[in-house]
Amino acid sequence: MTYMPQRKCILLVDDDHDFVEATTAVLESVYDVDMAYGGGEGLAKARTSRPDLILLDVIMPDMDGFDVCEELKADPALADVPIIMLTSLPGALGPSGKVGCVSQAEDYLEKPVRPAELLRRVGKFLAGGEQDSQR
Amino acid sequence: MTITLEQLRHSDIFGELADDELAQLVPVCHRAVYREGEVVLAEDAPADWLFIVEQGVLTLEKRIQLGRRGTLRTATVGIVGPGKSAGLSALTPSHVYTSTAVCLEPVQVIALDARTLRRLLNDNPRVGYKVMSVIAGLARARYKSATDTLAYFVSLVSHELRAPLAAIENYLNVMLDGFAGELSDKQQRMLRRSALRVNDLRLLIGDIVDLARMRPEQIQADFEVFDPGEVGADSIEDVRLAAGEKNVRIKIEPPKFVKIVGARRRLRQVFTNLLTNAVKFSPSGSTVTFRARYEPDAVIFEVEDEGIGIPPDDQPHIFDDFFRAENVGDVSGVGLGLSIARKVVDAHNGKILVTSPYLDGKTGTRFTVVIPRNLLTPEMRRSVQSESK
Repeated sequence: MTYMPQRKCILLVDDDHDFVEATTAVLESVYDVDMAYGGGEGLAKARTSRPDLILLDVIMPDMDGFDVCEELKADPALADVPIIMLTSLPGALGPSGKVGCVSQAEDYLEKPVRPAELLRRVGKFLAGGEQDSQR
Repeated sequence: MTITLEQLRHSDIFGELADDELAQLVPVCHRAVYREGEVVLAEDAPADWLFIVEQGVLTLEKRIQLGRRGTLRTATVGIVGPGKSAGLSALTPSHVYTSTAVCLEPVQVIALDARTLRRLLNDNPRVGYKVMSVIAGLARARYKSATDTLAYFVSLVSHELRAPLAAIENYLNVMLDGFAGELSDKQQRMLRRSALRVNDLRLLIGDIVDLARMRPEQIQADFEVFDPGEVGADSIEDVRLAAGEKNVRIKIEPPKFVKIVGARRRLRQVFTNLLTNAVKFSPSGSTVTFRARYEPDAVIFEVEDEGIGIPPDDQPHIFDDFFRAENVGDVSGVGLGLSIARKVVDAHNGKILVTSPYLDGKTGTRFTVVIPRNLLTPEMRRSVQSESK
């Protein structure tokens, strides 16, 4: 049997293609990254691939991040996948924001996100960057 | 040509009056014609006439000057077309025009002498009540239109401008941190300058939006338990690039931090604004010090610089909206950072003080922020209220 560590996988859900490209360039240094450009696509990919962490934008045209978060947390198969919500609206996710979802998402980040801060916050939930697997 | 009752009835102000009531107004009217570009009434002039436009269009303009040193500009605040009135201040104290009406094209008006009109309305309370009710309705409609426009603008600016700026800043940060390949020294410098300018723009947009909607209860609704050390570290990171560009050293004197209650994001804004100013107004090679200490009832934060200082005459105004001190020269800014800081600190029942100079024989400024330690989050407040029942 050979030990082959696999990289942990992050699902990045954001309709801003530029933000996705810039953020992926940072995350790929440590993690595998899957992208979804809308809330509906994000839910579908989360259900099929079960990522290790989800970065979830708030404002998206088809389905906003709050609704996606609620659905994910209501799904027993995905409820324990950590979610970090993202927004370019300062204070949108503060304590007086949409409390129902903020209290379920594990963390939030305000854009723009500095690379070091992004990796630090993601790393809190995905220590090591790798998961063990045995073949 | 004589002015008829029908012509007066077509106006927005007098449309509700009966014939006998309108008949009383005819003697105080006369007709006037203005050329394109002519000023019909001027801002701050005594409101001696009320005008009803019969033909043509007037624009209403206001003078705007941000702060003491801002460039004087004019802004169009309304349009007055046929059947509409200009110069409502003729009937409302302090009887001084609040804007300037300029002809967009040749204009024909019915002008009513204000003094005589006011006396007439005073002597006929029934007519006076009808006219003032209409004016109140017009004022309400204009106010609603202005606040709707402001709300739309704030909402638009909040996301539609911020999102693209955030995307630009993300790309710049990713490149500067080496995630997109190696950069030459020249590329590094240009990208650093770009990141600084975009950051300034993003903060300015944030300040303008905040000014439009910052109320104490909104800030207090965001109170949470947090570590002020993390907020301080975030603020230092916010100014690290600008300080590096100017070769200004940031010295930190932290205590052993204990969690407190406050609006975390807003306090970060306060410290970032103070540090940004300190760096902006400090010479190259100088030091900005950021320290904190705990007292039984409050946490005290201080930001000190070795910069140009604030003239004594300006210090009482330094927290006013759009105020900039006399000695700022060409340093960029619109004068919102300190006024926002003051609003945030006030919402925390705290204090913000300025001392300049703070050392004998040396220029420089110290800002002191005092945040009480007895604040409650919304949940704590609800818990206290239900226990007391």
